[in-house]
Amino acid sequence: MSEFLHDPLSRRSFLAAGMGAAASIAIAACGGGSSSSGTGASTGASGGSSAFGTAPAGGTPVRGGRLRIAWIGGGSSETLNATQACLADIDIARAAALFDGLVSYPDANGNIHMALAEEMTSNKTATVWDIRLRSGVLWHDGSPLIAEDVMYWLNYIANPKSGACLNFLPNLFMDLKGMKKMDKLTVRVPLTRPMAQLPAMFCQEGQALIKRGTTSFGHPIGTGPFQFVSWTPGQNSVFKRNPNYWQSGKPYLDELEFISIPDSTARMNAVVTGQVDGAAGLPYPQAKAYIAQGSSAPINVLVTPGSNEVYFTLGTATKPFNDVRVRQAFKYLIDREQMLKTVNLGFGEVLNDLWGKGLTYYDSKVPQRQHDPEKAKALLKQAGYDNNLTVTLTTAPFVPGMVEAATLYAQQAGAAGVNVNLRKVPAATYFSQGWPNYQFGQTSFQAAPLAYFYATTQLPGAPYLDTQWKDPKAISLVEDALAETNPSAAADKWNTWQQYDWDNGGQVHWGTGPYTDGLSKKVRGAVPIVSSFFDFGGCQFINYWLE
Amino acid sequence: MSVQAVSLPRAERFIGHHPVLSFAARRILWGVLTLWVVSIVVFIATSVLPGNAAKAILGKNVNPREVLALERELHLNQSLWGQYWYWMGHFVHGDLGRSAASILGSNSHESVGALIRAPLGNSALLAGITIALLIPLSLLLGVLLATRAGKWIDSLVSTSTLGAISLPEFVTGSVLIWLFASTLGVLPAVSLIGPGQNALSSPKILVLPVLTLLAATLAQCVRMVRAGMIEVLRSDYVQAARLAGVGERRVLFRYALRNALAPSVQVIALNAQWLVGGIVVTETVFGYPGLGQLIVNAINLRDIPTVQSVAMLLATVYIALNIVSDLIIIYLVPKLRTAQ
Repeated sequence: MSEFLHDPLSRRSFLAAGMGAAASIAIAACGGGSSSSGTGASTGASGGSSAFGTAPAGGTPVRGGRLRIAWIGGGSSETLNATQACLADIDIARAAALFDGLVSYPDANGNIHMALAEEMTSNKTATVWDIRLRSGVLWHDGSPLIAEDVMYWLNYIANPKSGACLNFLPNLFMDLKGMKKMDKLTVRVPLTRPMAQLPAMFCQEGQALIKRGTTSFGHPIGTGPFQFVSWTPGQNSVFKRNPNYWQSGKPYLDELEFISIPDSTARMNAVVTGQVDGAAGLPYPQAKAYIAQGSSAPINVLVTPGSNEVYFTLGTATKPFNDVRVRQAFKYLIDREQMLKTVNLGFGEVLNDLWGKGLTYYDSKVPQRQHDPEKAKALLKQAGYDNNLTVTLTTAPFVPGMVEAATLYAQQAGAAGVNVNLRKVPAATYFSQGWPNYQFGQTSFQAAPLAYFYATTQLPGAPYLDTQWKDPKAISLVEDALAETNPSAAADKWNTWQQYDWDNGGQVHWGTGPYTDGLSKKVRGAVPIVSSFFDFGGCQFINYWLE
Repeated sequence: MSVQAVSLPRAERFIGHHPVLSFAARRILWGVLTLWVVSIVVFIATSVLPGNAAKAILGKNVNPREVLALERELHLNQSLWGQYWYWMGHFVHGDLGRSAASILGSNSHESVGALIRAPLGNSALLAGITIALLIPLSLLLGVLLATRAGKWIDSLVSTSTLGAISLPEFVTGSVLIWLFASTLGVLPAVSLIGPGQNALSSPKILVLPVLTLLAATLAQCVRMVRAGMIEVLRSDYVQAARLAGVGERRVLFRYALRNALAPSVQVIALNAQWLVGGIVVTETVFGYPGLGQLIVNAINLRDIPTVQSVAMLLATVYIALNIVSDLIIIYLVPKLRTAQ
């Protein structure tokens, strides 16, 4: 599979829940309805010297310098429009450098930290939220951040012509007409359905807050740690330090340069020979080899754990997966350890058919499902299929490892008497020619809090309904959990929902895959990993420095 | 017996008096016709690709209203003929359309023309330097080997160029990177062009890609020149010139080479044409921001306007090279001017 041919498209990350990482950014405590009781998760990559690879931790920051990072790039689809930055990795990284969101990306435990919003509070029923912005934040052009910015931004992304990644968010959950400015820094947003974890819903790509009145992005104005200098689409972009950044003292770097190199070998060569200081998306075989070499390797490897993964989706509205016994059988058919070893070369963690291992509200009490082909066969027999079941698994090289995972699963199913036909389609058409109505398919998802994941994959009208599941009980369980404002009651409701999903749902979560990136030996500040969200620990270049 | 002066029609008199011009005119006419057929083929080929640009760009975040809006912008809701004439009409006026992939972003609909300008220049530079080196190298080496045919230097150069041509470019490129970039550290591994710079700002980045392309093209050209020279050196007029006391160098370059060149020009032109498409792999290996990278990206993104325009551009260059090489041959071999 040529990585070059499909890399430019959206690359959802692979993250394994890693060790609890202390956030080194001093941000105000979480407010509103988000809980910060993270469950410490287990270690990440097996076979690696540490969960974070070989990148060194600690040290005293040195100011100055230009950090050059090579990404896959997106060719002519690259954009500076931060509200659309959810396709090419490099766009996401640029948005993270130039802009901030109301909240930051989820940290390694899935906790949400406040960013531009100082506090988000709701009423008792979680149907009206007040967003109070941090004071003293300046846009890159010197003007202050005020409530009008938030109101403009929400209206902007709600417009279908904007092509915004978070377009569904205001349209599905908010009553924008009732939105009101309470004071200079506070906006009141009424919701169309109770949502106790609204901050979690902003915790994704496309969360960048844009300035009031923005209509074009030729020279983007954000509040982020770096300011725009130049951009050549498909090639490179340069940013310089924002001297008025609201986190004083940061960033340490003077300049940041992002370079597009689609071919993974060329990208790796660039960082090994020192032409760039970091390369995103080091293929697993190379990452493993460099980690094994330890200190004699030419570069350091950064392994960002987290909860991103590629999982299988069983079409619950399509035969044979409309029968819950068949769905359960397919969850027993899969050999998760073998998948991790073969597809991820040992990187990542085994999952239990539930999203978000290690994140807040994840139900770790559900027993781990084991590989049990006998049980699978028995279930299939009950459902009326005795060694005569044939299904079609639609796959595409949309993300590295997707086709390999599908091929291996087909083999594993074959060993248990189920015939799985692989149907490979081009990456560019996977999501537009039949998804989500595939009988049996795959999808990928970035790290996201549980609330975001379940709201967007289960609620009617949500954008990522990947299993065609229209079970009223499932929907009401998710809605109940989303609406519960009391944290311990919410934990119970989330557990109830997850048990139900584990028994009846159509998603087969088999394992996570960490991001592996290459870093030159003079780059510091990469560890501790601040966020589980993306490459380089959540694009935390704000914390990096050069020795 | 008297010879009657036949009065020829004007066209035939013109052709008789200006054979090269009429030949060129005829070839150009055929070239344009070929291009028109190519345009139809390209258009049909991109239309039958599954998925349209609108859906491919939006990916998983497919919102039906956004798709419709985008499709309308790209004229995807018209009939095939309608779309074709719309595109063709603009193309012949130099308007290559708007890049579909950049339509969503930045609110500035990047025109395909603006998008391909820099990559086109970069690729043209790379190909140009390669050809500029290829011609003298193949001529010199070809003459050298022809005069020492059968000796050790002949075997050495022939074998090594054959070896080089048998290796795929990504292998040659990788070996060169390993040798000069990783081990010796004298040349960059990736041919990056820095912000605000162009390909000529740091010529070091061109060395390895050019070497790779030369490795892939040299053997054929050298062998052709060599074979042509050997044959011509055996001919009567060369013997006569030598016997008349003409210096060896003059014999080689003034008499022999010129007549040996006709087939060689064709092979060199063939290799130059190969460069038009064959440059893609080399650009990929070195991360060089040229047309190769652009068009592969465009295909992946279903950026149909860009794919169509670049394909037409490449076809035009290809056909133009053909015509130019034929004209060169006619210049070199005068008797072809009047032969029909």
